[in-house]
Amino acid sequence: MKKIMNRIFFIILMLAAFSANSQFTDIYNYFSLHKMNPDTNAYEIGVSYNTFVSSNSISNKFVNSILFLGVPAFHMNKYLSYDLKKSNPVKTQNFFGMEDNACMYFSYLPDSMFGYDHLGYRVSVENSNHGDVKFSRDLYNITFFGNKDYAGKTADFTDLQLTYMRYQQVKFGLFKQSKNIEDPFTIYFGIGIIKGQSYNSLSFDTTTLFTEESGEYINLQMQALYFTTDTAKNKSKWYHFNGMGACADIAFTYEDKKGNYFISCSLNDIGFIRWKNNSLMVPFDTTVHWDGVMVDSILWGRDTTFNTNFTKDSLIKTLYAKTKKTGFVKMIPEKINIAITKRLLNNNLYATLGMSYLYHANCPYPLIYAKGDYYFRNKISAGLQLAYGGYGNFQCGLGVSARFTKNILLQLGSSNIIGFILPYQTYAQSAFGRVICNF
Amino acid sequence: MKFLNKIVFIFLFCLHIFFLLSLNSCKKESSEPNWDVNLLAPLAKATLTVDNIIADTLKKVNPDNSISLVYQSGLYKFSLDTLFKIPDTTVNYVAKLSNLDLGTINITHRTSFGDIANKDKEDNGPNSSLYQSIMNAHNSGMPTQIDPITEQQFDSVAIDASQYFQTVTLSQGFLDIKIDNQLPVSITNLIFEVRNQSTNIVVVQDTFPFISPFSQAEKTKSLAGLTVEGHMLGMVKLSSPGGEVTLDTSMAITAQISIYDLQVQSAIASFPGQNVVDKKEKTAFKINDVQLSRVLARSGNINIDVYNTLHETLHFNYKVYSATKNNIPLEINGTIPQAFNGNVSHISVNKNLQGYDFNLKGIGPVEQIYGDQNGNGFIDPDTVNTIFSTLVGSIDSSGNQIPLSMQDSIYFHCSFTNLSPDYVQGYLGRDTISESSAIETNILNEFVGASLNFNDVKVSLVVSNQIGISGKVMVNELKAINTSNNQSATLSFTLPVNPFSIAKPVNPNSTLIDVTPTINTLQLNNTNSNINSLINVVPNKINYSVQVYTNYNIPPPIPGTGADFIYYGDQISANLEVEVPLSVIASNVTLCDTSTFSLGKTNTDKITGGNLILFVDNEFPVEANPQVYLLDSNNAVLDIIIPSGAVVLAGDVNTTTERVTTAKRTKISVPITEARLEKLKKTKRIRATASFITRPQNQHVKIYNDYTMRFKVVGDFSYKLH
Repeated sequence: MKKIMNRIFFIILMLAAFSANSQFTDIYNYFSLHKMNPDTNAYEIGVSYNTFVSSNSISNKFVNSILFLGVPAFHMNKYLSYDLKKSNPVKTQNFFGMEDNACMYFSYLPDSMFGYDHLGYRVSVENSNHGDVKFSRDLYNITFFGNKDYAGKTADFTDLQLTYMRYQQVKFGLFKQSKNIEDPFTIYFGIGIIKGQSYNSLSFDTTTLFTEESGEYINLQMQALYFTTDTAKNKSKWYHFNGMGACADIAFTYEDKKGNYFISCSLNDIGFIRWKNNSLMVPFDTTVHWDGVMVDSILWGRDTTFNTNFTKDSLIKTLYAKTKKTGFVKMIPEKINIAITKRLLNNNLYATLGMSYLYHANCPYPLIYAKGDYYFRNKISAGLQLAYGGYGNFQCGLGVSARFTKNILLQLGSSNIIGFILPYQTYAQSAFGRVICNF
Repeated sequence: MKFLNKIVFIFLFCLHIFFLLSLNSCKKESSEPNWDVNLLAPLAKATLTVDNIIADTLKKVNPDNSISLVYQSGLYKFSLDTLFKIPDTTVNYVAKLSNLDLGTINITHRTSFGDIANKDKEDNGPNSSLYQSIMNAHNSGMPTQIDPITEQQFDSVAIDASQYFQTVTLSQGFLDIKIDNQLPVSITNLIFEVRNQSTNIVVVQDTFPFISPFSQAEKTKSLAGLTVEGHMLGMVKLSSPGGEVTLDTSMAITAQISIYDLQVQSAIASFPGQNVVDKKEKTAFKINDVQLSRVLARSGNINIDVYNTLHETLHFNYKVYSATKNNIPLEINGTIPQAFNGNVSHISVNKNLQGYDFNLKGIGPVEQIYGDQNGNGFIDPDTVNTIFSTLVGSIDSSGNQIPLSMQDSIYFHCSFTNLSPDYVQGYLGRDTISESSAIETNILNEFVGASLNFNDVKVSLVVSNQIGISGKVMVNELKAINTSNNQSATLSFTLPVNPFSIAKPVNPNSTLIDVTPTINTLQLNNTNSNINSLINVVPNKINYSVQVYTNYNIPPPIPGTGADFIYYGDQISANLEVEVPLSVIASNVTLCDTSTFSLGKTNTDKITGGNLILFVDNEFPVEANPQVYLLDSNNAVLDIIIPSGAVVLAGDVNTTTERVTTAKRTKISVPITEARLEKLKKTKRIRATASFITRPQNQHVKIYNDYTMRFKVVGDFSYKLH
C-alpha cells in the first residue's frame, strides 16, 4: 500500500513538473472573476494547491534530501554527504524561502446584489505554511561542516533571519465588474480573519563565534531574539488557536479589448497575526567564553561515576534564562503581483510579462517573469515560463491546463521544472494545481 | 597517583561529554537528515597543584615556598586504664549482737511489824508472847518490851519479772539487795533467797548478819551465768534480839531488789530499743604497687546486702567516713524485717558513687576530726588504699517477748564495684609498659617501588604526657619496611639518646582544667642515627617496639604523700613525626591504577572518529610518561590509548634560582576511531600507568608550592549531527 501511495505521489509531482504556474506568479486567480458572467458563468468553485521552495544558494538536491527524506520514489538519502554540502554555492548572504498554500473558494456573481449590477462576492478558506531564512556563509559552514575549519577565525552569523509560520484564513471579498465594451475592468476587495497555528522566528543581530586556533577556547557573542508559540508539545496542530489576526486582499484587472491585452494587479494577505500571550519571547544578549568543563571539583578515587550534568535540557534552560511570556504581533507575508498579458496569434497565445514579490518574507528581490500559454482548440493550453529573482536565480517552468467539460478546468504546472532534472544545479522548485468548476 | 588519576579522569570525562553530545543529537534518527560535522572545541580543563597531589595534612610549606612532606602517626596511647584499675572490693561482716540489754528490773518486798506479829501468831497461836507484846506495844503506844524474835521465815514471796522476760540466761548482770530496816529493833541473821519458781533453782541467796534499827544494808550479787525466770519466789529469814521500844505495826523492813547491767546470753524477753551492732571497719583496696591517697569517683557503685537472723526488725546505718560528697560522708541506711519462721530476712541497697571523693588514707584523717575511733588511744597515722567505715545495727522495742541470743547476728556484705576514677592521686607505682606494633604509612605510598633519594630527612618520636607521672621511653626497635621489594632498614643510634625522659606535667588540681601535657621529643637525624637510610627504603610499613617505664628509679614515698596523679581521659601518647623535604631525585617511579569503567547506555554509533588532544602546561620538574589501557572483564588488554612515546615534558629548572619559571607545553593527541569506540563498549576496566622521572636527571630538584600542571582537553572530532 505504501508503495502504491508513493507511486501516485510521484506521478502527480511529475505531472506538475510539466504544467502551469505557481500561485506566486498566478494571474488567473482574479482574472477568472473578471470573466464571470451572471448569465452564463455566475458561479465558480475552485480548489487549489501550490508549493515552492527557492534559494539563491541551496540546491534542490540538498533541499530534497531534507524535505523528501525517506521517500523511496526520490531515492533520497537522509545522509548529507560532504560533496552534497559542498555543492551549494553559498554566498555571503543567502536566502531560502518555502511556502505551500491550499485554498478552496466559492465565487458568485448574481444579476444584482444590493441593487448593483455586476457586483459579486467570493468566499475562501486557505491553509498556509510559510518559511524563510536569510543566513550567512559562516552560519552554513558552521552548521554543516563544523567549526574546525574556523580555527583561529571568527564566524559571523550576524543578520540571520529565520521565520516559519502556519496559519489558516477565512476570507470574504466583493468584486465589481465594469462592463465597458472596450476596456472593462474588475476590482476586488476582500478581508479575512486569520487563525494562527504556530510561529517561530529567530533573528541574530551581532552574533559571532571565534574558535581559538588549537581549539582551547571558543568565544560566542550573541545578540538574538527568538519568538515561538511552540510552548507545549501537541499544541500546534491545525486546530489549535495560538493567535488571531486579520488580512485584506486587493486586486484589479483591466482589459483593453482594442489593444487585446489585459493587466492584472493584486496585493494579497496584507495582514497580521497577534500571537497569544502564552507565546515566548527569548532575548539573547550574551558573551560566552568556553574553555572546557572545570573538573577540579570532581572527586578522586576509583570507581568514579562520570556525570557531567551537561544535558540538552540544562543547555536550553541556560539559553532560555531571560525567557518572557508575552503576546506579539507579526505580519504575514504579503504577495504583490503585477502582470500584463497580450493575446497573440489569433488569441491562441497569451504572452505575459510580470513581477511578483513577497513582503515580510526575507525575499531579497522581486521575481521577474515572462511566460506564454498557447491554447490548442480552446480547450487545452500549454505554457512556458522563464523567471529570475525572488529567493533564487533563473527559473524555467512549464504548465498545462485542460477544460475537460464545459464547466471544469484543470490547471497543473511548475515554475521550476529544471529543478527536477538538474537538482544539483538548480535552486528552486515548485508545483501548482487547481480545479475550477464554473456554472 | 592523583596526577595519574587526573589524566585518566579527564580523558574519561571528555569521552563522556563526547558521547553525551552524540546522544542528544541521535534522537529521531530515523526521521531526520544527518550529516558529519568537524568540531574543534575545548571539552575539559583542570589544574593540578601541589594541593591536589599532597593532602594538606601531609604538606608543610617552607618559608622559601618549597614543600616538605610531613607525616604523623600515632604509635601508642596509655591512659588511666592502662596503668591500673581499681578492683572491685568486697567487705563482709558477720556482726553478732554485741549487746542485749533488758534494762534495770526493780522488785520491792516489805515486811512490817504486823507481818512479824501475824507470822508469830500463825506459828505459835494467838497467845504467843511475841504476838502479844507487839500488839500491846502498838495498842498502848507506850514503850514496851518486845520479846526476841527467833528465826522467822517468810516463804513464797512472789517476785514477778514476767513483764520483762520469760526466761533469760545472763552472761553478765548484777542484783542489788537493799534492806531498809525501819523497825525500832535490830535485825540479825537476815537471810535473803530468790529461786526460780518452776525449777526451784536458787538464783541468789545472801545473809545480812546485823541491821540496826532504822538503818539500811546493801549487798550486790553477780548474776553471770545464771538463768532467771520471769516468775521467781523469794524467801526471807530474819531474827531480832527484841527490846523495849515504842512501835507501830506498820513499821516495816523493806527489801529492794535491783537487777541491772544484764548482758543476755539468750532470752525470751521483751527487749527495749537499743543498738545491737556497732562495728568500725577499715577496708583496703588491693592495688598492686600503687599507693592511692585520693580517688574522685567518675562512676561506680556500692552494693550492700544485709541479712537479719533476729526476730526483731533491724535498722542499720553504714557510714563511710572516707568517702564524701559535698563534705557529707557516704551514708546508707536501711531497715531489715525480722526473720520469720526460721528464714533469714534480707535487704539489698545500691548507691551510685559518682562524684564521691575517697580519701584513702585510712582511719587517721577520720580520727583527726572525730577523735579516736578504734579505741587505741591515739590518732592513727595516714596509710594508703584504705577507707574507714562504721556499721550500726539497732532494734526497736516492739513490746513482744521474742527469743534472742548472742548467737543471733547480722550478715553484712558490702562491695565497691566498677569504681572508675575521674582523678586519682598518690604514688602510681613503678611499671613497665611494652608496646609493639606496626603502622602502615601513606606518605610515600604512591612511590613504593620507586627509586627515591631524599635530603635532610627528620624523624621525631614525640611523647605527649598528660599523666602526672614521670618516666622514660626506650625505643627497642624501629624498622622501616618496603613490602613491595622486601627491603628494610632498622634504626640504630650513633649517640646515647635512648632511652629518653618523660617529664611530669603540673597538676592543675581541678577536673575543670585540662592538664597541659609535657612534650618530650626524641629527634632522629643524620647525626644521632641512621634515619636517612630508613626513609630511602621508601617504607610503607614501620614496625616498632617501645617500652615506657613509669617512676623510673623513683622509690615509693611515705604513705599518703605520693603526688602522682591522673585525670580521666588524660594519657601518654607517642607519635612518630616525619618531615621529608621535597628535594628529591626520582626515577623509575611507576604508578598504576585500575578503575572500573562502563559506557552504560551511552550511544556511540554516530561518532565517526576524531582526536582528543591533551595540552599540558607543566611547571613541575617532573617528566611523565602516561599510558591508559582498556581492559575487558578478564583484564585482557583491548586497546592502548596513549600513542607510544607520548611524554609530558618536565618544566625546565633555572640553574640559578633552582626553580621552574616557565611552564613547558606538551601536546598529546589521542585518536578516537570507530574501532576504538567499539572497544570502549567492551571495556570493563581501565588501567592507567605512568612513569615519572625528575629532571634534570641525577640532581635533587625542589618542589615548590606554586607549581602547577594545567591540562586542557580539546575535542577534534567528527560525528553525525541530526
